[in-house]
Amino acid sequence: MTDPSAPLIEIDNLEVDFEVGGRLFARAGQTKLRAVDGVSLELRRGETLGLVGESGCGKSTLGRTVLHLIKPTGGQVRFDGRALDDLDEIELRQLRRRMQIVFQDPFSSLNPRMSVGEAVAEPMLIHGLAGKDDWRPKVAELFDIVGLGPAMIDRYPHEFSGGQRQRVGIARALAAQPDFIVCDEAVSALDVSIQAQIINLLEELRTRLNLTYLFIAHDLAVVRHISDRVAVMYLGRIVEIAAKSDLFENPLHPYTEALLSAVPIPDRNAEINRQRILLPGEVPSPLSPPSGCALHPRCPKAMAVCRDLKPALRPHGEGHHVACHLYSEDNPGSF
Amino acid sequence: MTAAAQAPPLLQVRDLAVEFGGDGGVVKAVNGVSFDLHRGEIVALVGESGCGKSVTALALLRLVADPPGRITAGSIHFDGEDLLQIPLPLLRDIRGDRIAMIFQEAMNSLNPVHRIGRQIAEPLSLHRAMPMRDALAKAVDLLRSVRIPEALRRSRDYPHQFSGGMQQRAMIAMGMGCEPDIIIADEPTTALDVTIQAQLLELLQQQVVEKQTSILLITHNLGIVARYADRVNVMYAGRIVEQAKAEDIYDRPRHPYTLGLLQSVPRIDQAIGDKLTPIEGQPPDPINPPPGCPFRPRCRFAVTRCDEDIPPLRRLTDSQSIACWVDVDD
Repeated sequence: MTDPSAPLIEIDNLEVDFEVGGRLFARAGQTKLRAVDGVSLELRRGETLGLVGESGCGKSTLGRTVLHLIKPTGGQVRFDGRALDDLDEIELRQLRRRMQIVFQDPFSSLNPRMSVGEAVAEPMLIHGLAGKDDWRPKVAELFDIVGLGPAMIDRYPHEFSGGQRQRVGIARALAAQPDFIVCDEAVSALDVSIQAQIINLLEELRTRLNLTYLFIAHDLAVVRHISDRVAVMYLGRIVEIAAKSDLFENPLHPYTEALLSAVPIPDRNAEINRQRILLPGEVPSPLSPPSGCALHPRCPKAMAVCRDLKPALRPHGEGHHVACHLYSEDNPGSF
Repeated sequence: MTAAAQAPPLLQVRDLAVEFGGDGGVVKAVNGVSFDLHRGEIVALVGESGCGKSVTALALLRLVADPPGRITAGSIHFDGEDLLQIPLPLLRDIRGDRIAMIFQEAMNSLNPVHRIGRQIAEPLSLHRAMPMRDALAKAVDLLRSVRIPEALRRSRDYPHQFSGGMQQRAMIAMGMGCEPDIIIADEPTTALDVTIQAQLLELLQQQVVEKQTSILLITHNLGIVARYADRVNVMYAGRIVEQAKAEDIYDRPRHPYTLGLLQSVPRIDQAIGDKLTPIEGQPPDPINPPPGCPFRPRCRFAVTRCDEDIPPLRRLTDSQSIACWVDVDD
């Protein structure tokens, strides 16, 4: 057995490039879009790591690359000590059983012609965890765990509401008996009253089945609620990572500060006195990222150095890392 | 806003009902909705998917597709006239001119084959008989006012050349063009990232302060409501279940559904570790709603009476009403 104190997942300097501009428009030559730009992270066993950032920041690509659903251009992912790019197809498939994903829209990830029971049984059959004749009681048990009645096994996806479909999506991920689940905007499409049900379910399952989650979402309040640690991404890079209480009470990166101040609080009195940091402009295109620190054209605290030099992710306090020149050692303002 | 509350409301909606008919049965999507909108105030219609908030917004300008939809009852008084009764040509003069609408998906509301500037200029030349040249110049000013950089050059772009946030800003510019009395904003920032969301909502609020525009803000986001709305209508299953000033809704929710909604949202300023309290169950099947109060099957406070009688909206204070036999504050 592996050392239980060793991280379950180690991501080392991961890079993902997409080639954009197909043949039709390729006159000017192929252009590379760097979606993930040198990300290093660890996920400890049993923890939930929240990954936040705005559309196009690379958080979903990172999640899929961790599962090797997208092959990285550079860098490495190690799962339980084994480098995924060293594995052949069969070994990768065996390891994939232990890594599952729950998507935002469960409807588009369920086959409309398969009963939801069959959909949940499929991973069991593929991985030899159940046979064609004996999957039913195992699926019924999973349905019970995620809060669906056994009568629902023979129904079809269109008969389910959004929240119920997400329960099916979770049951399907659990069917393979995984250690690790990527939740990619898994509760984002749900109404708040239902969202709270699913968040509570995910939390219960984590304790009960000793799961590790990479929880990708754009809703910071949800991420704060469910995560142990939180990483913030901007334009393909991690700009800050810390224990959640640290990150939310003492954000260091100007982008994290702006992001937190933009999240509305459902309380009139709290909202009325809040100071908001409005970042001018929009997230630049990853096709032509700014020089130096990618935030510098929008950053209220930008200095001359930010235009030229990409800040590295450095420790700043216990378990708190930030990629910002404000906190680099040669900046006198930081101490 | 307090002064405005004394004057008669700019928009007065009474007992509005909208049905959708199909082979599967009739859905009462909006079922007796009444509310007021005064000059220079932001009023929110808040609720979850399928509660009827967007259908209400569409019905205000008679934009509900018929068939399958029908406005079956009610009145919508705007500036002395009932929008449900006036002839369609008169209503067309009001749409986009005195009452503008901003939708969630700007990409679907902008015409992909026309330049942005021209689309913003169109209502100006239509409603204000402005020569196209002047209207185009005004369109550039409007784009500048919603902070589109290089507005003159960008006004010649097509919608696909704009990012999602810029498209939504162009929609707001179009909505503001004729300086409407009312802007109906249906989930205006829902598809956008929080930092862009904040930029746009500040723009809309500025419009209220500077031009005394009134905004009907339709959203599912209780945080946005807390920051921007003066008064709030909470909808559930086609009805308004609570109506109050924004500060009262959050300080002292009185309807079990409002309380349930507030308890189920995680808050960024809340003590870490509190478990969320979801509302158990799901919204009722709109084709076969339960007898009695539609919230009854999910309600923690229900009493026997809730099984039979649908509670009407009743006044608790001058500014707070609930449609509930119980008052969770008791």
